Amino acid sequence: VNGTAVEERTADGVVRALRCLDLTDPRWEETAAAADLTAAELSRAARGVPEVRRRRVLVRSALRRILGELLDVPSRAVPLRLDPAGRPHLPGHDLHVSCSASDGVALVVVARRPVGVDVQRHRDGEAAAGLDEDWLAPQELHRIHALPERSRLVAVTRCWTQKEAVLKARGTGVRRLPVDVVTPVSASGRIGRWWVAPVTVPAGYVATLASEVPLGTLVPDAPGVVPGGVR
Amino acid sequence: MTLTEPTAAAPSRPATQIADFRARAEAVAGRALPTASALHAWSVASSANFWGTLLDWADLVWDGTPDPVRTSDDVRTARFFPGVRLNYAENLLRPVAGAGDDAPALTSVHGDGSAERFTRGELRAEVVRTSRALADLGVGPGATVLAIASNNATTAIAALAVTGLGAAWSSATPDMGPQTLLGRFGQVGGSVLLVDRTDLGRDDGGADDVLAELVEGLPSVRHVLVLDGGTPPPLDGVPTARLRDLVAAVPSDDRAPEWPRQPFDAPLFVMFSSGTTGPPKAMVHGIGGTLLEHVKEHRLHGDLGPGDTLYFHTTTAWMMWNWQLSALAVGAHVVLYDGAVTGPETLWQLATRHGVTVLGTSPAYLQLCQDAGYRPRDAVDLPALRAVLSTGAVLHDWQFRWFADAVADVPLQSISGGTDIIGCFVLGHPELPVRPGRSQSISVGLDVAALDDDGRPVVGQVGELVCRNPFPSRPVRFLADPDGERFRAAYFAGSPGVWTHGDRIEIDVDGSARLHGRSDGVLNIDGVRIGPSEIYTIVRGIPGVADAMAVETRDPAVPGSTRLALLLVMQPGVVLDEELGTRIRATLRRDGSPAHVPTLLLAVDEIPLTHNGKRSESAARAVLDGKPVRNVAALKNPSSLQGIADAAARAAGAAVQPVPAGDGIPDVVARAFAEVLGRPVPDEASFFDLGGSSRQSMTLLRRLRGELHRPVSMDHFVADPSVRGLAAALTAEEVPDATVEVLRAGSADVPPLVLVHGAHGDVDLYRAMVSALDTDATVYGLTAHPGTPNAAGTQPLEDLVGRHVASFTALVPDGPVRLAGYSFGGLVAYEMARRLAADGREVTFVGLLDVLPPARVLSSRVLPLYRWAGLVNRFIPGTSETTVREFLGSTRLGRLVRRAPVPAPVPPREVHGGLAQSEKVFHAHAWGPFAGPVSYFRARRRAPVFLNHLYAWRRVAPRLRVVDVPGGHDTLMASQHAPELAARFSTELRASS
Repeated sequence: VNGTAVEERTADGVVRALRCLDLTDPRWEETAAAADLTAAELSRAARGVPEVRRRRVLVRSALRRILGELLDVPSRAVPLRLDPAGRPHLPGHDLHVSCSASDGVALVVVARRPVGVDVQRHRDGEAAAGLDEDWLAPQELHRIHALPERSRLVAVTRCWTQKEAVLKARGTGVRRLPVDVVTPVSASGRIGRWWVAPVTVPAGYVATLASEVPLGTLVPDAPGVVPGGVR
Repeated sequence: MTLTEPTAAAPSRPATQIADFRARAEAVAGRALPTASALHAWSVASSANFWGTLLDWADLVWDGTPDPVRTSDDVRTARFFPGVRLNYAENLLRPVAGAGDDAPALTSVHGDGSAERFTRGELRAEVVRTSRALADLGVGPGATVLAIASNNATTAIAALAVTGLGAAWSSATPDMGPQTLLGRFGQVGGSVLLVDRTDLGRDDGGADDVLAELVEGLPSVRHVLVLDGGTPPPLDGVPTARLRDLVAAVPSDDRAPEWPRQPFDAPLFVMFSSGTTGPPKAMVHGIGGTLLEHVKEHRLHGDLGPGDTLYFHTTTAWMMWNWQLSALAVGAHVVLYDGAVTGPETLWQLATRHGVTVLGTSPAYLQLCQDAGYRPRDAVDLPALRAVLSTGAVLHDWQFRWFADAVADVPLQSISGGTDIIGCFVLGHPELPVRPGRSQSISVGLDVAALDDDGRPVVGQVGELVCRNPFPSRPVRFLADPDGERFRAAYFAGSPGVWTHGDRIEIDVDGSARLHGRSDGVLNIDGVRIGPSEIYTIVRGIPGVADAMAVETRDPAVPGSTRLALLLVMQPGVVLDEELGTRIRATLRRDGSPAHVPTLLLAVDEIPLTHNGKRSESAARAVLDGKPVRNVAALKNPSSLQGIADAAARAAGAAVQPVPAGDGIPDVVARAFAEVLGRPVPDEASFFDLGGSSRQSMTLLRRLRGELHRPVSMDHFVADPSVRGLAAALTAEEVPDATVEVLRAGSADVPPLVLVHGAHGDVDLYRAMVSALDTDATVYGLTAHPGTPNAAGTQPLEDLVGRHVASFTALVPDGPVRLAGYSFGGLVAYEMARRLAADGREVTFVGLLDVLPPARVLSSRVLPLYRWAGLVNRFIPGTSETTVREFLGSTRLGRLVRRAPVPAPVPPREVHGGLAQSEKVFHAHAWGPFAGPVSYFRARRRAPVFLNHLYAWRRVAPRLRVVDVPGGHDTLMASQHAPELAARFSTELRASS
């Protein structure tokens, strides 16, 4: 068990845990994981089609297990509350959480200060279409077009993760127009009071973490949450 | 059709250099080679003899032995003249018969008309002194010098000094952005950076900041030398100096540094090019191959020599710069120009002032002259001019006819090759007539052929351009290619044993040729390039699909446009029904892009295949286009064509709309949900419960805005993100209908300023500028939001103008008025000014923010050229933020740069999706004259040659004032430029009141 391994790694210990989940691992036991969730969480998970339900169960279970380690309580007893959009928060504690999933990869972060994380599977076609979907600001488009062609599409996906991470850290989520969050386009940098930094995720995915302090490239804890529990 | 007569050959002595060479070749061949084709046939049949004879005849300076001429007959691995050692600059600057030290060598002309002139002797002395200064910094064999420099003498001298010292040279232009410069030079590892800061960082925060960024990103750079006259900035850890100071400090009695003669394949130039896949290629060209090829082309094909003056319009970032520099080696006088092309007259006036005998330009520049009604024959005196070369794109038949009529009675030579060979496959020829639309000749010594789908050479038909024998000017290697695999894959993957260049060419029996675009089968749908393999890869992953073929086919609904058809071979027992069709479309949209989604899905039994098993897209396309299929005999399964024709006929008879087919909001929303999510969608199910992500919600909303022609926002969506919820939210809401918006309140005593919406219909683009304007005027914004009767793009421009005039007049019925607009909005503003003036209203100011003339006012025949002129600023390297490399990789026009014809018009890059309609309306508009004052705010960063739109504007608006403002057309209204734009705009406004 190394729930606090990340503490030494970051400059000021802002990030308490950062875990990457491989949702495609066949060893996950959805039924066992579901035992960590509250009835409300299970009910929300069950509204999804099977792959959405599985994702919601596994990610929420992982979050509860990590918090359980940190707070030294059973995972099901972690006092998570849900905002109307279904996003978890931890009232009364000095801990902030954020989760994200895309296809086969999920990220779970626990931090001492407000935090947002977003992972996105990169697809060239989707990224190319993103250039014309009105969520990139003119300055961002300008910067993207100034990049070498080979870097442009990944930069689009990265911009998306930076916007989402900042919106999650703000607590607004995508209800706010992502076009208002003007990213630096580069891998890390500042967006208003938020700093964004890349998170190392499996090839084919792009991920960003937003927080109030500048952080270097973030490497998820290893071993992370694996089928069967926190190790 | 008039043919230009060949130069008559005097019987007594060879009139041309190629005739002189022929005499030498005949002696070697032991037989007569009386015609151009006989000489070419010998040059490829006895290829080694040809190159050996050429090296001997060319009278270059070299050491060693010419044997062996080449190490093998294998095109990929053969190396030429391993026993020859030589120096590029030494050869360019050596005394040449007929061009001694007093002969003119270099004239460097600047934008203000001033010029520096060097004789061959003066140039050599200056180059030697410069090489001393550089040698003291360690420049020598093995080093590479990077140059960010303009097309002038300072640059040419530096290049000659660097190559004289045996180092390699790699150049780019100062107005490229830092990212693009780093993208190029980051691969090279140069030790010295030469930089002309005049145009560096103009839009990126200042030259020295950009320079610091560059140096930080180029850790191999040990010295920075500025080429401009300014003070060198201090840089962190890297010494800086002014090159001219270092040269001035060289003692007058300095012994010249050693200029080593190096192996034939030693590095000379590092150039950049791009394939259709993978990162761009950084290629190293060798000293011997480059020099010998250039001397061959200049002397044998251009008949260039002492007494000639060559000007080729280029920048330092294009291989034509290196090519024209080498003309010094044949004793020609080279003219350089680092100013802008300000109108159709610029290059012709340059030619007449400097006695240019051979002028190099591009089809787009010639078209500009033709469109502008400019006739060099009537406007300037060109007694010295004896040939005009054109490259960069196809030169159309009509341009040859226009040239003969409007320019001069000299040959117009269309030449074509590539960075990859730092030379040309097809060129002019002094002994052959010019056939309109064609290049006169295949490059001598190159066994160029057109191969059909089965790999057989064809004549009079379009085929794959290959070169079947080794040639010296191939890249000696690629950078970052230790095992040569990238090099092999670039040219030898198609047909082993021959150089496959990637162009399509048609060669006639007379040896003349015409290029027909790239051969990689890239589709161009709505201006978006799509590789067929991308589609196959996606579609083959869909259960039930056995095989597929994507075909770009004529769109019967829109003449001149194409659409994407996808032929599908289904697995046994699988039927292509609507559900599967929807799934295929959705998968292509998700894993590809909207442009990957075919208009037409056709289930067929077989894909047409050649006897070799190659897929014949051309046969399928011909069937779908209703054209006869050439060469049915080449097909293994000709019956497949009937199957395609039947499927197309069935599809044409059936409704092609996917379900649900209605135009109502609920149907459109349901369709969008199903396609974005790639699955059937119950009306009440949440988008997110169905697996939709936030990212996909952007795609969904954008698509709905496009299909419903109205704003669709997150607010509509998040409350109930289901088909039913979103449809209800959209149905309930009124579409915004405020046509006139007050952007800024002002004094009623001052004539108002009216800004007309952009192509999207909104006025948001003006807000940054308006807030910074120094004016007391009320500023109104005229909008045309989608879904309103005004909606931009839904009606002819004159109707829109009428509506706007009515709305504005209702609001402000009398008094003087001032109007302005950017791009689309500018044309509307201009037409409103005409309409209001005709109604007796006083219009005291019309501000055009970089407004291009509509295509309609140009001749319809040249529309395709005009349409891609919007891209052309990326064609001359360094005029936009895009590098040549990126440009080559990213646009269809990029392939034209490598000298292939233009097969279809390409809309400007920035026009896609909803903008396309506005663009059509814009270009369909026929404008009229306006006698009042017009202020034209011209983007400072613009194509130097092609977009001389001011000429067209002045024809209708003679009182046009031009104000240069920062940024390019795309970025003119960006907030970082707003303060300066607003300041200049305010000045013009004040002058009008």
